Amino acid sequence: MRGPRGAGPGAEVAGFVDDFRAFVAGTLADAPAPGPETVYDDEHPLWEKFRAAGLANWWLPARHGGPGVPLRVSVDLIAELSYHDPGFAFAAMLPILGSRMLEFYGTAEVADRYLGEMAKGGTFCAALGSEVVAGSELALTATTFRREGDHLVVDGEKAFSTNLAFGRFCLALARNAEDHRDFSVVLVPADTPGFEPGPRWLMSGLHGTGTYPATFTNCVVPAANELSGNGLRVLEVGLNGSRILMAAIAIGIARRARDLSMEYAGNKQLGGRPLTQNAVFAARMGQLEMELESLKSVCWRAADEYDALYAREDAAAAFHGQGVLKSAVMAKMHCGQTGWRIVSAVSEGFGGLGYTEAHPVQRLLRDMRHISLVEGGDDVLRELTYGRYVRHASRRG
Amino acid sequence: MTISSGEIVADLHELSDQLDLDLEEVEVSGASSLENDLGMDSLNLMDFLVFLEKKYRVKISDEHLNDVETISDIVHVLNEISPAAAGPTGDAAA
Repeated sequence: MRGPRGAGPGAEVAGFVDDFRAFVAGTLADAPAPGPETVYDDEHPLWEKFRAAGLANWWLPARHGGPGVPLRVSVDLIAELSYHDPGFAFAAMLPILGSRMLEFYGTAEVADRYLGEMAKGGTFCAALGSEVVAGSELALTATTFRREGDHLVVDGEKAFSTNLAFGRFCLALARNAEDHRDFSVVLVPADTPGFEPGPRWLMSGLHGTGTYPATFTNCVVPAANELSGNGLRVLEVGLNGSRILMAAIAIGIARRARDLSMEYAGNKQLGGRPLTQNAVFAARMGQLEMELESLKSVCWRAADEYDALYAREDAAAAFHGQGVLKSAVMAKMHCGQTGWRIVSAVSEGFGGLGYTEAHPVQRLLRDMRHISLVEGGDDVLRELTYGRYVRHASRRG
Repeated sequence: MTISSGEIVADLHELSDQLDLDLEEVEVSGASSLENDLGMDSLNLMDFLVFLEKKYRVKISDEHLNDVETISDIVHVLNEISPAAAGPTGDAAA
């Protein structure tokens, strides 16, 4: 594990980290880069190797059959995945969003069943919050559920959900059809009649990820599939983990950008000397390293706070009370913005070459951009930050 | 039976952890502004309203909320619509 903070992983987690790094160095590093058509679903050869090595869904706790790797360690693991393949990193970590909601707020029976399958089979789940009209205003969610005896009936349309088409189940935010203030998150198994993923969105970056819309038409699920708690807050809780790991993707991308620059500069002559001996280049790289350290710091801090809450006996209630973790939002915003500045500056160092489609730095630019856009764009998060942590003096940092 | 501000204040203190409200250094009274004094955002308010609807077995419409700014305003609305309330006005001074 990198970095000075944290108590350090136990022996089991340390062994897991070794296996994870062996996969990164021995398999992922040599894998071909994904193209626009690539989807890392559970039949993709790379995912099959990841799963066969027992690495998928590594945050799932031991009581559900997972290795229970803390988020603090996960930050470093995601940074290592994203150094080679940010799309693979995103697809691999995103099930934490749905699984943590289920772990905290699902009934014991439902959580055991579905999370146990995820741990055992290395399969995916997906979460559905976004809608076309509601956009970032989740309180305007139009997808509904209604209670009919021992069942729930879900109807509506969702806009974006990564891993949806091959997830074994999804967790959808819906509004009670009979009470517009009552929101719940409902687990819908993939084989439920009336549940239909739409055609895949083609994304500008993060190749390898599969993101889809979905429709729910009279989807009938058991009443026990309704998670407890206010659905809006339950979704906020789920997003804490995925936002921190999304931020951590920036660490890997920034490292890759730095190493591409150093490799280029080692072979590039300027004024009869290697570029690595140029003062302007040196200043740029010094700046990059400082900014890269700041990415690591905000991710570690957020992950430490998350792990401390997670370790509490009343973790589900404690997370529900807080909803959004300020440190998770700060990490995502900081890493998205600073990461973008890092990769943009690096791309300038390549001159016209850095603007060519096939150059790796172009891929890094497109991949980095998602951090400021997905799971709450920066303007949405700025407004949230102002409302919750600035407007009232007692909450200011 | 009239619902008092004191009851609603007690409800708020009971819910403060669940709503992530920091009330330790706030003197909560009927005159307290939900947004400016108690730091409620739309999500806190929604949670609070759902709690009140269940406890007092009422439905608070969006129209009722148009003029709600303080705890007294909430008390007033509850006393207007609650079948349990004996009178039409709340005890804002409690």
